[in-house]
Amino acid sequence: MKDLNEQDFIVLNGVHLKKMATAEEIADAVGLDVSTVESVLGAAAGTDFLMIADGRHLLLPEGTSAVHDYYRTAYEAMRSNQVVLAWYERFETVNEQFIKQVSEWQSADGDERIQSRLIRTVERLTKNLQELIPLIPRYENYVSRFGNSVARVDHGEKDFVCKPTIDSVHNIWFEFHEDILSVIGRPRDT
Amino acid sequence: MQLRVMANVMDDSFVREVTDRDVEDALRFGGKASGLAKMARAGIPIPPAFVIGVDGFHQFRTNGGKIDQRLLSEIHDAIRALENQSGRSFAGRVHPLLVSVRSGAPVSMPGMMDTVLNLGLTSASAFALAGGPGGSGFALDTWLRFWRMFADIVLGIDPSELMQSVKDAESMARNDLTLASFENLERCILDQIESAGETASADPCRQLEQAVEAVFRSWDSARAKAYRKHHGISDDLGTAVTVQAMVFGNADENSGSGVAFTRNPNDGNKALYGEYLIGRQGEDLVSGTHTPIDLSEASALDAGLRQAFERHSETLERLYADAVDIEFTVESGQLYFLQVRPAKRTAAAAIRIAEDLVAEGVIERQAALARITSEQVRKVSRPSFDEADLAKAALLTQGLGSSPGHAHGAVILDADRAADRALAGEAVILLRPTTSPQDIRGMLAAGGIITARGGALSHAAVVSRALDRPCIVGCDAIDIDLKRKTFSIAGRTYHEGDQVSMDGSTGKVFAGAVKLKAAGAGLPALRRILEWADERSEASVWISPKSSDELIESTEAGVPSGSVVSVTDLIIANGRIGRFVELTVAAGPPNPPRGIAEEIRAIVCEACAPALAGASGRVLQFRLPRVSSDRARRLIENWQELPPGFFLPLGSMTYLRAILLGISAAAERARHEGAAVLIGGISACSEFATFQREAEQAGLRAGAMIQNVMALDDIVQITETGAPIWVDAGDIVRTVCGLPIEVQQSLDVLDQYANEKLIRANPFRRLPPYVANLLSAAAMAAERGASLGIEGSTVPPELLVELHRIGFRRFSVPVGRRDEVRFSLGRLQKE
Repeated sequence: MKDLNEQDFIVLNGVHLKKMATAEEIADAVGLDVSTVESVLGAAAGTDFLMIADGRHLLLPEGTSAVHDYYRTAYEAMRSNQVVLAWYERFETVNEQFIKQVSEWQSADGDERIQSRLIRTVERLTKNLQELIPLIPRYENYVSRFGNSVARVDHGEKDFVCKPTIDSVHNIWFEFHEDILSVIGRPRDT
Repeated sequence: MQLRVMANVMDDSFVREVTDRDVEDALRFGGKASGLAKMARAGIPIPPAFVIGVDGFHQFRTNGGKIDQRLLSEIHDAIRALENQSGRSFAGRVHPLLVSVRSGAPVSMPGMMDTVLNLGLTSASAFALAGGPGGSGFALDTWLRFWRMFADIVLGIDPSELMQSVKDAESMARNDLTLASFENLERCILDQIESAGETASADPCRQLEQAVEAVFRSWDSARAKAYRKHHGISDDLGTAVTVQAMVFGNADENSGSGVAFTRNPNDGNKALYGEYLIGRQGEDLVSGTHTPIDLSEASALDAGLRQAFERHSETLERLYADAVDIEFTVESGQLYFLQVRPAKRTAAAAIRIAEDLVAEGVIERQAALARITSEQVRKVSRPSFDEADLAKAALLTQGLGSSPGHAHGAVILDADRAADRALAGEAVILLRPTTSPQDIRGMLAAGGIITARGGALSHAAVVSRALDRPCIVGCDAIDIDLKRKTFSIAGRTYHEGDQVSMDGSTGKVFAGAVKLKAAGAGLPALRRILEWADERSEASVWISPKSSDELIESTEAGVPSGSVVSVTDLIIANGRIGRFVELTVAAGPPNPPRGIAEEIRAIVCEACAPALAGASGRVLQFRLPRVSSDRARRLIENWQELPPGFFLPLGSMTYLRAILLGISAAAERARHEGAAVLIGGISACSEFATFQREAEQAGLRAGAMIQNVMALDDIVQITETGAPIWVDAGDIVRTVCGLPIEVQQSLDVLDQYANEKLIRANPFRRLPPYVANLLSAAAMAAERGASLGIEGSTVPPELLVELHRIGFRRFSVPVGRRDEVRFSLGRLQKE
């Protein structure tokens, strides 16, 4: 496993964004079926790309740099595309609102009114994402994940707002943010 | 009769004032208006308001999604009435009436339109307002707040983008303060809305219509539809719309805004609590730009207002049968309650308030139990630092708390060493510069994780939250020398193995091992709530302490029940597990070398003596080590090379007798009468009979831990001997399902599996009917009063609730979960 093909990238990027996840969680996140994801992970597990601990997958430094390399080549054109860069500038504003609302929501113990504002911000992002999807079709997947998790929140499962261990709205948002930063070539320093 | 006819005639109108008695019907006028109506009737001062009932919504639907002429004229009449009551004029140039528009479905649901505030201003009236006491800043903020909300909620336009695009016009209006600049700003906003493909009007009447239509339309939003489908709510129910006059806390110096709680939301104490800002609007309170007055101070409000407040608080608590929080505004000396809801509160306050409301005769005990959640009981019962001990502890440094919880242990700088020492039974804190996937084994084993670098989204933080381990990151002050196995803080050097304590919420690291205690039972209110729970459940919840210290602590804290403690845990806590494992291996083959049995006896005696002494005469039962257990398999290196016969419960009498003698020697030393020993893994009453003889010879009472289904066949017969018997619920469910222990230890994996509909339910959360049948004979014996309990250390409380429902009344759980389990058992509804 040296250079990644698109499918390898989608799976390993899923691991990269989730940091530590089972094959099922990755399959759900990237919108591929579990057997495909398992076969990519299986091939990578024997190399210095990936390790498995406690049933969950983690990228090793080699794997991370392969993912970054793929971003660099595949999205080179995006990095000077004015539409994408302008979209990102707008995203930063929405992102600030979202982060503020999440911390308000947390400190207000899941207040309903703050929650409805927060979900409206998520809907704003999914609406805006429609503009990017023609350029980056795999972003469609974020829209459907947001939709599913918002429905869970609406059904009263408050964990789907920001619990870190499930596909919560906050997790999806955070993964998306890291993803778009990598696309435009501004990896976040964590 | 005459009156009846009159009433029917009046019933025809879509729009009602909230003081109308009919409006209390939430099904026709929505929850919000119904709440306002009840408050108005109870004499609570509210700003005037009217409501468009769900009949209006149906009319809107029938009319093809448009407000018809009749509804429109009713709305205008109602606005006229608001004008009369408030002495202001809607869309008027001076003294304008501003209103809020809110959705009000009979059941509140997500996806419905939120509130639009400050509707009613025009460029002309905003400009006039700028010359008033609030000043131009207030006028522009109020007006633009309306446009932001209107754009966002009614038109679906990004409000920050809208404001960004009219920034120049806005600053011109702020600087020039001319009517022309206000008009220009209004024109820019309308143009911008148009270029985003929407239409809006500068006329408040038209804006009100649009807002009402938006509420009605939001009934059919995708999210609201999905919600109704999920909850089986009819799509034809419809929604009401509440329109209420806005009042202003910045009208003059006799005005202000605040938030009040009828009881302290932190500790539940019954006293007015909250904040009041003189001459300001509610938003200023939220933004924190002005320092409010503390309502608990007697001088915070003038005597008249305070008196009114106290009277209304009392009324509202009776109305809600609960503590409430209140948003209020004083406009020119007149007090208005804007919103009242059951108050948010901390876990500790929830418990105190529920208990007090029972004492005040407001609610019944059963209702009090229903007011509290298991989560809240768990929160106050979570092991936390002993406050007295914490006060003495020296703060070493503070980083970023990134996964909550308290922990203490020996600092270990390497993941593998941390894992090894944790396996040996030591409490360990893993300290690393940063963590990487290679450290995962150590992170799993450690009680807490600290890193010198990294932020809230670093590997250590993310993984710790996933593992539910306390974690602190970004402790810049810690300098780690991995080669020398030392770390230094502020010039002082520490060595690997030194004890520290950490608080994963505050990020504080302390020197030494601060004592941990289960906090919950210390709260008097919780104690009483749990007594009520016990009365209802008629259950007795024992504890399974992990060490003699834990046992002694809970004895001192007054836990009255018995304890079930594992001999292996005691040996681990005593630091002798390494030697004990070697001796166990040596004891396996037939005719083990002499001296082995004697040394086993001595280790067991040393490990058990403190527990027996600390039990102070309370019932204490020992789980005997079982060579075939999953833990033994992990602890013993060449486990598979042991002789197969050794894996049977009575496979080595030498080994069994040595352990029994060790316990009996310890009991004798501690002068503890009637200690019982529980044998695991047996499947027949003949095995038990033999074990019973052996135990009696050692002067101990025999009992058993039932871990397999086969033994359930004989369980009634075994209990008839009067022996104490426990059924290990986790083992029974796991073996029936054929799952390995690893799956049981990560229940969320099975939750996920069940979510994917691959199995009906997680069998550790919902008792499978098959298992319930297997347990029915035992459950009946337990109901008849047999000495038969459920060992529930490895299953979640909801499974114990189900086992209680089929008849079990005795349970044993870890110390830290006892309160929560008692609460959960008492909270369930009896048939």
